[in-house]
Formats: sequence, structure tokens, C-alpha cells
Amino acid sequence: MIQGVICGKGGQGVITLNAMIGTLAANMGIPAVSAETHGMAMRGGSVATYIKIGECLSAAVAEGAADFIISLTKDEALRNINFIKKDGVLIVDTDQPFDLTGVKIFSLPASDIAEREFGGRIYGGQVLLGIFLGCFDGIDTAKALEILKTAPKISIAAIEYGVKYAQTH
Amino acid sequence: MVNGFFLGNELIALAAVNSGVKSAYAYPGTPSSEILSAFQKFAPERYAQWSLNEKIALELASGEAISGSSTLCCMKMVGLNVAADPLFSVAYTGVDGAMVLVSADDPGPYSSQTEQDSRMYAVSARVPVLDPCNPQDAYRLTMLAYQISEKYRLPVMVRPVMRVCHSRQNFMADDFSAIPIRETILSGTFRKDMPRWAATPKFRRILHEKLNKNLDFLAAEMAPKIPEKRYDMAVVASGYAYAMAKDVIDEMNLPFDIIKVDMPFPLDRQFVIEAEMVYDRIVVLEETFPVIEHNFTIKTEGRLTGLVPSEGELTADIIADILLKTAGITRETAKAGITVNESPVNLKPRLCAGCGHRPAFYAMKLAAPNGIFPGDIGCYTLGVNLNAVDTCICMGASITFAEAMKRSNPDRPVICTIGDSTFFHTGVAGLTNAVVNSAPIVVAILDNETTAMTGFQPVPHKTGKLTIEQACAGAGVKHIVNADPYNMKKGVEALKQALAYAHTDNAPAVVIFTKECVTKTRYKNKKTAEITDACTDCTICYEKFECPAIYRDKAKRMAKIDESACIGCMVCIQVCPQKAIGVKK
Ligand code: SF4
Ligand code: SF4
Ligand code: SF4
Repeated sequence: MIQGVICGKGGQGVITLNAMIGTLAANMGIPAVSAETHGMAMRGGSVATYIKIGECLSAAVAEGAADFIISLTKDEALRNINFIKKDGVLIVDTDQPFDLTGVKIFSLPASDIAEREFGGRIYGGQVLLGIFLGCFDGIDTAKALEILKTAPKISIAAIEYGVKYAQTH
Repeated sequence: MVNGFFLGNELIALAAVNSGVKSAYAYPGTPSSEILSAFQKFAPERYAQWSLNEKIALELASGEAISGSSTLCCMKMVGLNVAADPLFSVAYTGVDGAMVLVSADDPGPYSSQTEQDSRMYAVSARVPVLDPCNPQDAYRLTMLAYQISEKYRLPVMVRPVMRVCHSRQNFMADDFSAIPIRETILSGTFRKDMPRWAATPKFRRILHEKLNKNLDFLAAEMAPKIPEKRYDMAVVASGYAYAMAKDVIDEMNLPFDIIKVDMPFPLDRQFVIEAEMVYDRIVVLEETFPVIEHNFTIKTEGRLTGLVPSEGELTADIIADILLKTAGITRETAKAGITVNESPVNLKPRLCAGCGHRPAFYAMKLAAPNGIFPGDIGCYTLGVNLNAVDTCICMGASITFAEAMKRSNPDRPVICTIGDSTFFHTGVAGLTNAVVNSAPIVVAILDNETTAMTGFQPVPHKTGKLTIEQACAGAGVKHIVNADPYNMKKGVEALKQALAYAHTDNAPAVVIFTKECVTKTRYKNKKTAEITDACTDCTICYEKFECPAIYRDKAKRMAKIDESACIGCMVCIQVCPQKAIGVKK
């Protein structure tokens, strides 16, 4: 089982990113459960979502148990850092460095890159998704990309950028 | 078949569609709102209504179900407070078709005023209640709820918590168009039965007795199964607490049998006695009140014994701690090895950049610096950040609180705020009361032409069949003016005039601030605002006025506008005392 936290600020597309990963898992025939927060928290506040991929009933991630955190801001990554386990993977959209040890960090200004390379900041999330797909041995990256084939071309390009980034960093 | 990743709320709607529901009624409220939208999406040919409030929704769903139809009614738990009146009564009469009431709870709370447990209503109204543990289970239990309702002719409640409503899970769904439509979907068949549908107190007692018998049969039929015994300790759990406990027990290999309770009320007596006999220790896990736990008398721990915290959401960590403590196991710390040398900046929710509510609140502060500002429920509760919301109690209480506050504080101006959807929900009655009782208050109706907080559900006055002005006039208000919130000066003037009117005429005045929700319309002016060097860093625009598009440039010690976030409402220009903000050329 792989479990993690996907977080950011309200309105950044955190929920969409979480649902993309879950849908991908479902289409790969792997069970998955996620949990989101809607409502008041979405008006620019902190949004944290959870996902467990594998056999389980709930999406509740315990502290120190997350295999990964994907965060659309540095602050939200830090706010949820208590969830990550030793040697877990931290994937963050930021141009700031982290003062943090004990985890594997992929930090890059994904939205800026997406704006430059793919013409829109919104594809930053897909870049992070690509890194996620590329950095876990447990995920069949080739199969995932095969399933994603029907997605819009730009999305695929952004995801592939992320996969490559993960494989070369 | 499509293998999708569905929200719990979507699967509840899908189960209602597949159970042959004719009509669905709801009032939006987090975390329940997506159920009706999903019902509309899955079965566009069936009837779905966003009712004015939850009482109306439940009465309509009940009325159709009494006519032999199958209905769905959805709300959040505080909505059930509003709908409690019909619930208690329909529990006695029952229905002739089928009716499922979904009341979604919000332990935490995340988006609500309380952590109340809808299952307590079920117990007290004597309505069977099912408590799903995740989206797939929500589908199964909603289907079961319709079967129970049809078989016993009773209204049945399904109570998902937020973590079930807003979880997604993989689910194999049928092709929706292939769902057979049954007769009952097309029309009901009302059968007159006065002793039942119009029961007098004498008949009510008879109905009550019949109901109690039915509940006993149902409890026995639905009795939870005690598994083959492996351990001396058992966890008895329902809802999301069950899902978490099952995962924790499996992942950590803890020495507990686990028993799932699908239906916390009515709970079979025999099951309880048997469980108490079989096990040495029982831990009951449920959210948020000890509904199941109250049935147990011996060997049992939970909220009543202080083992389980009495407030807040249960988490995997809390449940793990409870079970480890009960089992006498000490937990090794997993976090060793990670060092974090920085901490995050706190984020609080704020009104969106360019939201029409912000300047309306700001105008209120300018028009009545020592005013009292009762508020209401919606995005605009965030007016607390602008110090323009002093109370937030429940839907519609802004207007009644304004009347009360004015009576207690006659020397201070009172301006209350209420959104358009909330105004039609329960505001109209409060406003009528204020008119009848000569309350010299100002009611600011913040009309964003939608129900924004819960996901942009439609509002009554956008049907073109009535206006807010007509509703106010109908309530007896004589002073009703419209104001554009983006024009600060005129807004302040309108409020001052309204206050003057209220005091001289001893009657409520209404100011309607209309600006369609910019987040819904994705409004963006071609031009943005810009801050010049005249800025003295007085903090007003980014702290007091709090536009999220404005931030403080620490190095330059002045305010700055994030052009990608600024939508160009140009209100900050009117707010800056230094005239340091202008339209960007
Ligand atoms: S969603 Fe609409 S009404 Fe709510 S804060 Fe944003 S702009 Fe204002
Ligand atoms: S309100 Fe005007 S002077 Fe004050 S910080 Fe903002 S731009 Fe500067
Ligand atoms: S114009 Fe001013 S107040 Fe309006 S969104 Fe832009 S920065 Fe905010």
C-alpha cells in the first residue's frame, strides 16, 4: 500500500490532483480511498487531502506514516510534515530551499515551469503528478502513462516532464 | 460498467437512483451538498429540487412518500435541526412508498457550528439510522435503507460523516442509462387514511405502539454479526470510525475482534447481551455521541468512560492510541530521523479577491464605527476577519439577533448581514417579526446571486419569479435600497440613510448589496490595480481590508499587488487613505 498527503492552498487544484491519482489507480485496477475537505477551508485557507492506494477501508493517514507528500506550496508541505515517514518522498512546488533532513525532497517551481513550457500555471499539478509516478518503484509508470493516453496533450507533456524529472534527480 | 473514483455523496445519489427514487429534495450544506447535484447528473429525467430550507425539503419528500412514491431528502446535520418538526411526526405515520433522509455530520467541525450527531435525532424521533463507513459502504447502505423503508413503510435515515461524504473510492458503476424505471418513479397513488396521515393524539398512541413493534423486528433482522472469536477484546464500531479502526487493527496487528454496526439505531438487545457475554473487554468507537455505547452496561469502554475524547474528529492516531492503551502495548516512535528547522506561515480562509462582500463590510464599519454587526451563515461569515461580524449562531439568526441586540443596546446602531440564500431560508420570517415589532435595525442583504459557500447552488430570486425587494416589501419593509458594493462612497451613504430612517421611523430598513460572486463567474477586469511609491505601508489595504491579491513587500516596506490574483474590482483604490493605489496603465 502507498499512502500520502496532497495539500496546498484553497483554489490551487489540490482536490483535482488527488482525484486524478485515485482515478488513475482505479483504472489500473488498484483499490484506492481518498479524503478531501470542502467548504470554508477552500476560501484560500489550507487544504489537506489524504489518499491510500491499496487494500484498505479508510483514507486516514497516521502521523509518521505517509510515503509521500505532494504540496502545491512550501508552507503547506511544512504544515503537514508530521505525516511523512522517515525516507518518505516530499514533492513540492516552490523555488525556496528546504531546511529539512530525513526525507527525499523533489522541490521545483512547477507552476513557473508549467507556465513557461506548457503555457499555463495550472499544469504545475501535472508536473508534480509526473514526479510522483516516476519516483515510486511500486507504481508501473509505463502502464500509468498508457492509461493517461486519452488525457489532453499538454497534460501528458506536463506529466512526462515530471516523470523525467523524477528519473534524473 | 465504468470503473470510477467516486465521492461518497455521488454513490449515495447513485444508490437512490438505482433504488427507483422519483423525487429528490435538498437544501445545500457542507458536507451534504453534492448528493442532489449528483442525483441530477445521474438521472436528469427525475425530479430534483433545491428547496428553500430543510423543513420544506423534508415535508415535500415526506408528502410524496406518503403518496406512495420513493423519495430522497438531503441536508447537513444543522439543517436537520430546522427539519426536526416533520421528522418526529412522519416517524409515527410512516410512509406508503419509501423515503430516505440523508443527514450529513461534520465531526471536527470543519464547516459547521456544531459537532452534533444526527443519530441522536434518529434515536429520539425513533427513525432507523444507517451509518456508512466509506463511499462503497454508503452505496450499499443507501440501497439497504430503501429496502428497509419499503418493507417497514418507515422513513429511514442514512448518516454519513464528512469523511464519508467527501472521500472518494473506486467503484464499478453500471451504465446509468441502463437503469430500469419503475412505475413508482412516474407517479404516486395517494390512499386516504385519516387515522394515519391526519392522526389525532388518540391515534398517535396507536401509531407509536406500531412503530415500536416494527423497530423491534427491524433490530432483530439487522442485528450485527459476532465473528468467530479470536481475541478476548472486541471493538464495536460504526461509520468512519469503523473504517479507521479496521485499518489500524489490520496494519498494526492488534489483538481485537472487530464488529461492524451498520444500523446504530435500533440496536438489537440480544446482540448486546451476547457481545457482553463473549468478550472480556469491549471498546465502542463511533462519531460523535455514544449512541451505540449507551446500549452496553458492562465490560465496555468508550466516550462514557473517558477513553474516547468527547470532542473533535476521531483520527487514525487517536484510534491507534486508544487501542494500544487498551491492549497495554507501548508504541515505538516512528518519526525519529526527520528534523525540521522551519515552520509554516499560518493561512486563514479569506473572502476571495474582488468579492462584493468585502467592500460591503468595509462600508458598514465606516457608516457605523460603534455599530453591532450580527452575522449569518455563508462565505460572508468570513466578515469576522474584517471585524464586521459580531455573532454567528445559525441560519437566519442575523436578523433576529439584530432585533434583540437593538433592544438590549438601544443607543448603538445595529446592522446585520445575511446572504441571499440564507435570507430566503429563514430570514424572511425574522424580518417580518422585526417589522411587526418595530425594530429600528438595518438589514444588509449580501446578494451574490448564488449559494457560493456550498458550491454555487441556485437561489430563488434568479428564477425570475420573484425578487428580494418583493420579499422585503411583502414582509412589510418600507425602506429598501439597492447598492453596488464596488462603490464604497455610495454604499456608506446608503447605510447611513438606512440607519437614519430606522431611527426616525422606528422600523427596519433594508440595503441590498448586489454583486454576483466573482469566483462563480470567474470575473476578471482587463485592468488591474497598481500601488505607487506614495504608499506609506499603513497596512490598511492588506490587513484591514484584507484583499488576498495584496501583500506586503518586506524589502520595499510597501504594499504590492499580485497581478495574477487581482481581479480589478478597484475597491482598494477607494480604501487607501494615501491615494497610493491606481488603475494600472
Ligand atoms: S466564493 Fe464568491 S461569495 Fe464566496 S468569498 Fe468568494 S467571491 Fe465571495
Ligand atoms: S492602504 Fe495605501 S498606503 Fe496603506 S499600505 Fe495600502 S497602498 Fe500603502
Ligand atoms: S483591485 Fe484591489 S481590491 Fe480589487 S482585487 Fe485587485 S487588489 Fe484586490
